[in-house]
Amino acid sequence: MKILVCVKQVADSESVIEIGPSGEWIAEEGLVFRMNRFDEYAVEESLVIRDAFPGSTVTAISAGPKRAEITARRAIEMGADRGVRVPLETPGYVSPMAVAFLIAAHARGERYDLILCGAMAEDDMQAQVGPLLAEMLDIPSATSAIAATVSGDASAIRVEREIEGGARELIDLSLPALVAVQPGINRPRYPSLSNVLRAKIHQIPTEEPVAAAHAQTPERLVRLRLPERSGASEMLSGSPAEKAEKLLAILSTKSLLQGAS
Amino acid sequence: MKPIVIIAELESGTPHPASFEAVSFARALARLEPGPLRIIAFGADVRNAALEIAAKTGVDVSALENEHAAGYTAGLWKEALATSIAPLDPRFVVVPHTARGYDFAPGLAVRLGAGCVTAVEALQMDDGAIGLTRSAFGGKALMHIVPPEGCTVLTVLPGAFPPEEAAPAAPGAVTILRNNARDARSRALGRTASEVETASLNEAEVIVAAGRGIGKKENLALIRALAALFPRSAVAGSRAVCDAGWLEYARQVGVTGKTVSPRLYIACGISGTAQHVAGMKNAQTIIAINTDPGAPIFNIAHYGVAEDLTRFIPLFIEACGKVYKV
Repeated sequence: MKILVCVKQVADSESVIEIGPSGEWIAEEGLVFRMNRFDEYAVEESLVIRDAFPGSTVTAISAGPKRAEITARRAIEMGADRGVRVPLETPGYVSPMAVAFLIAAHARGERYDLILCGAMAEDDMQAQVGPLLAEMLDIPSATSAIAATVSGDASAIRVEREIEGGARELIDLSLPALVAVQPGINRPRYPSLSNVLRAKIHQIPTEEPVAAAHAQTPERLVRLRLPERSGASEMLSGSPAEKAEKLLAILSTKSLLQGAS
Repeated sequence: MKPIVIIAELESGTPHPASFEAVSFARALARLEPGPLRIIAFGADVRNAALEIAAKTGVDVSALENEHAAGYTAGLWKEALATSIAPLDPRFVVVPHTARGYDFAPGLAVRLGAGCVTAVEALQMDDGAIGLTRSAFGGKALMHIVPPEGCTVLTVLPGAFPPEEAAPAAPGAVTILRNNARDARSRALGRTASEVETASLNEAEVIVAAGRGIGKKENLALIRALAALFPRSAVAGSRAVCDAGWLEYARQVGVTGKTVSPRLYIACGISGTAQHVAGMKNAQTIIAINTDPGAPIFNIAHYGVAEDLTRFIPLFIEACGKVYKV
């Protein structure tokens, strides 16, 4: 099988973040760039599937500036066979539509059997590139995969989607297909020493730049701001039972509690 | 004036609550950029749901009936919706940001030659244009996005736009349409029921955390029972609880433990020291349960319950059981 895994390089935003001088992105100075955590699960899944089908290969693709090579290389350190970078030099916010378009241009020529993506990117949290890419390539797709099994004859993939209320939905997709995986589908491995050494000498080719030709101009990010802290909390009133009812109503409205009712 | 199309979500033939929130959102959009509303409901058995939605919202509903739509696949949804939506030439297509909605919405946008913005949680005018607010960087920042001028597909975060309470003057008209879309490349094989499942702290969407205020180790059973009500949940603890040996240190949240940012954090019997708060203040929604109404945890919680948790948690579980039959 020929497998493509999409990996995004993001600024590590787990510590304190500040808004940059443009007001349109975070201040990246001093931040470390690394692989989007959600994509680590996609890389791991690609390696597991590759190893189950001898002769398979995993290509990791990253769209971004020169430094995105480090993220493609990180996938090789984890065990991917090769890495590719699609040049995308725009700083700050980039429309998922543009990213998907660039990856699709690469994937069309390669005829992958399976494309894997993470659930979303930690930075823009749009969760779009996977499903966009599938549609651009005209292949079936499923997101929120918490389990995935390729059929013995490598003609289909069975996906368990994690849906509301902790329930799961089973879907068979005929290959080629795209699957966006959920954290928890596996436990991403640490790079082995031999793969780290292999990645060191591995060239990350840069794809020829292609002009994005979507039907219309994409959406624009006009402002990035920090959320206001809500001052005092809302104290629930009434008898203990009434408070329980109120809390239940709040959680239901926010779709945090959705039982199998 | 181009229309605003709302895609209703149905759950076993009845409208999902997020459908009504999508209508509220569409009305808010129409106040900023006027256009007629139309709801599209798609499924194997849509008639009753369509009537209910039309009655509750007063908006006209096109019900697309397709015997193959008993089970969901993105391929089938995109095919059926794209062919029905395209002739309407809408300005916006509004989709609930549910496990289904975010699965098919981006691909639908590609089919319509439209833009796509997901998980929208607020609306405002930004320099004379409609601005869509959505979370980024794990909720640490908010983006204001101006959609492109052509058609844009939007998914709306559940809980952000409460459904309207007032009944409409008259129900909307319902049109039942036969839909023949097929999806030859994917097959829905049904659902499995929810199971009690705990994820690790970093992966959990809901974290129920115990503090010294739970009183004794045996009360952890209550904390676990509360966590079991939520999918993708995990149990965590404060430093004090881990120091006491009631929970392993791997489950400690705070400066010396883990930093977490789940969708929901329920702090039970936690006073709310700065050390603990540093590890969880980025949770999207924080609920605190503590006997002491002056506990600092209530300063950062979004909702506070000043009650004895050994009394309150069983009451809450009981209330859930009535509604959700858990």
